[in-house]
Amino acid sequence: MSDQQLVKDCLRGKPEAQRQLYEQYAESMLGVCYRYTKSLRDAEDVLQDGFVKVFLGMHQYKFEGQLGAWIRRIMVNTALNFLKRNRKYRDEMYFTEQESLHPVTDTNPEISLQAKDLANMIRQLPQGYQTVFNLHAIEGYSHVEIGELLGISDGTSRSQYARARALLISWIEKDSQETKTKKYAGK
Amino acid sequence: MPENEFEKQVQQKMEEFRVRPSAEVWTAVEERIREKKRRRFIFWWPLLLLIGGGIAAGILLLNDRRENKGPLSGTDTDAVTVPSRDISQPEEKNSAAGIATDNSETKNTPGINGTGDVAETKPVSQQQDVTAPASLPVGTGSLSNKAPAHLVKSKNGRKGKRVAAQPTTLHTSVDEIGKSTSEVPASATIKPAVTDAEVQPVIDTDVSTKISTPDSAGKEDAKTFVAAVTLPVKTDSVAQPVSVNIPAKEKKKQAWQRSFTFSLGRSTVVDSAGLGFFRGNSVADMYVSGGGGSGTTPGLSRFVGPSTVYNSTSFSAGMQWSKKINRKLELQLGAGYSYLSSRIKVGNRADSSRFINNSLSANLVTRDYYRYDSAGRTNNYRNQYHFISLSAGLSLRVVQGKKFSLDWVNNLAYRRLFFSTMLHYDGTIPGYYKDNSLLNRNQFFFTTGLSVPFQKGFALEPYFSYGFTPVLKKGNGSAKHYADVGIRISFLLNKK
Repeated sequence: MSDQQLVKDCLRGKPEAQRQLYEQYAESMLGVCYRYTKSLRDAEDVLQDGFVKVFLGMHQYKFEGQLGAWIRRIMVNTALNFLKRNRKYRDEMYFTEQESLHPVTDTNPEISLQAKDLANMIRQLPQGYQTVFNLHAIEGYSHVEIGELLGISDGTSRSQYARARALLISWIEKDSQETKTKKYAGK
Repeated sequence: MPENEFEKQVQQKMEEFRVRPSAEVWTAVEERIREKKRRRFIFWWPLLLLIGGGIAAGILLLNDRRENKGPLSGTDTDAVTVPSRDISQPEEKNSAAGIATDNSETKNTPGINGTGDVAETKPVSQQQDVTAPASLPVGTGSLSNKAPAHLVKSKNGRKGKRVAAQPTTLHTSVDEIGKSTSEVPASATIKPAVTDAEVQPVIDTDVSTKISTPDSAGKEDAKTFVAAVTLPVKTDSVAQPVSVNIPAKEKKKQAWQRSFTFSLGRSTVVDSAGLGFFRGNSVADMYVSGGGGSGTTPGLSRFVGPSTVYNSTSFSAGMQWSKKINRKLELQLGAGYSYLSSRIKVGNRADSSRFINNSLSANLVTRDYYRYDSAGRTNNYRNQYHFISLSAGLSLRVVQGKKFSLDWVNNLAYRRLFFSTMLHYDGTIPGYYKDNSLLNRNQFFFTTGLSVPFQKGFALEPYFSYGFTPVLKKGNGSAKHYADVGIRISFLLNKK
């Protein structure tokens, strides 16, 4: 069934179409939610909220652009709302300058990690870094847009991103070193 | 935008990344969709009910008006009955009823040729005052004693006067008829202002004349019919008494009950499903530009705004006019002033001009803005909304007891916002600014409540009111609406 037909059937309130749409996008969308949160349970909560919004706001989808992209945008917004509503995340949403801890780097290491390992690494970033990194590197938001979304200046977004990137690269390189060491030790 | 290899790799890896959700997620999603749809339905059904009630009330009113009109306008079939009687009844009866008759004169009525054929048609189009039927210019003083006395009218020609015990309701203007018919031979066809609902009197006569009837505007359309009224020429004919009854109750019903109303409550802005009244609203839906809650103000180490929206005081005062439609339904019209407010937390008022240019407020220069200080301190701020209001609604008596009654009151109101202090969030300030051009000034509200009337001339009514026009003309996120709960008290001014 095409996305268009699926949407029409969902709009008619057909439960089987709703189920099918959910099945089609749930896994990839949980992947999105997973990157913004710190636990799978929270990610599932966001996914649940997101899909409720998708089904109730289906009439707003104008068949312009891909359905998957539209759903993904809803998931990202839902995740951001979740972070700001949830005290656990909100209180950790600091954007302090921590230059000494995470010096900026321009390197572009090759990522040999599995997707899940990389996602887990992103989730290890401080909350502010994690959010900015997800929005810029993966969703493709500009720093100005991120500034608007998070209520920060675009300069802050830029610096937060640079530090998040540096921290992540250091972890990736470290992981790569450990993997190599293990490999040699095994030989 | 990601500009180098690292970002591309991350993006690619994350595109592949999938996590299978547990089965409970779908179950919860399904349940919540159903629940929300049910809530939406619950929220809107009072409105549908009100519309239905309005239609029903309209029909009732219309019927009511017809009933009132019936005996007065001559459209009621039952009102025009002239029983066929023995003509040998004594004249005293008529005299007692105040009706002048002169039977002897009818004998000599000119123009009646004894066959009842119409010799001439002379419409009487101005005789629509309805008490006596057109056909009956005869037997009265105004007819110069040239017509038979079988058909009579009330002496003074007025509506609603009971003339005699034997009800014969006749419809026409006496003077006009008298005038017209005095100039027309009795055999002429006279067109009185009666409708198709009227019934021809049947009178025991030997000679008859056909009388045709035009409508009140003098048009002879399909509804106009020729009422064959047999004009009596027998000398011993006896006029039947005429009676037109107007129920006294009908007039009483039309009185409007006036009352002064005052309400006090709590109001806020809620999402379109009406949620978020007591727990405070999610901030994301209220801001105009920027600010998602997970950032910081520049120079601050933590997130401060935009604020949650809390409920605040509301009140209203006005006049209400109500009128009984029937035993259970009452129509209510109102006019007055309403004040709604909500509370938010803002920074300090800035003492300078600021240029605002965001997705909603373009090129606005304002001095009305509030920004957070370096410590992120906040102050309470009241968004105020002042309205003038016109309303119409229905009250349905659901409990009718000797000591206790309960009415279910629903109304629709048009409210015009004439003053507001509402602020909007802009992440680039960062803080709040005022721009009243963003507000929808014309608002429609639906209010539902239960009213408990007391003997002493006042009523208490807990109510819930919802503005189904969005607060803002346009906005980011889902639309917000005014909501108000409280208690209204009505003091009856002309208690009966």
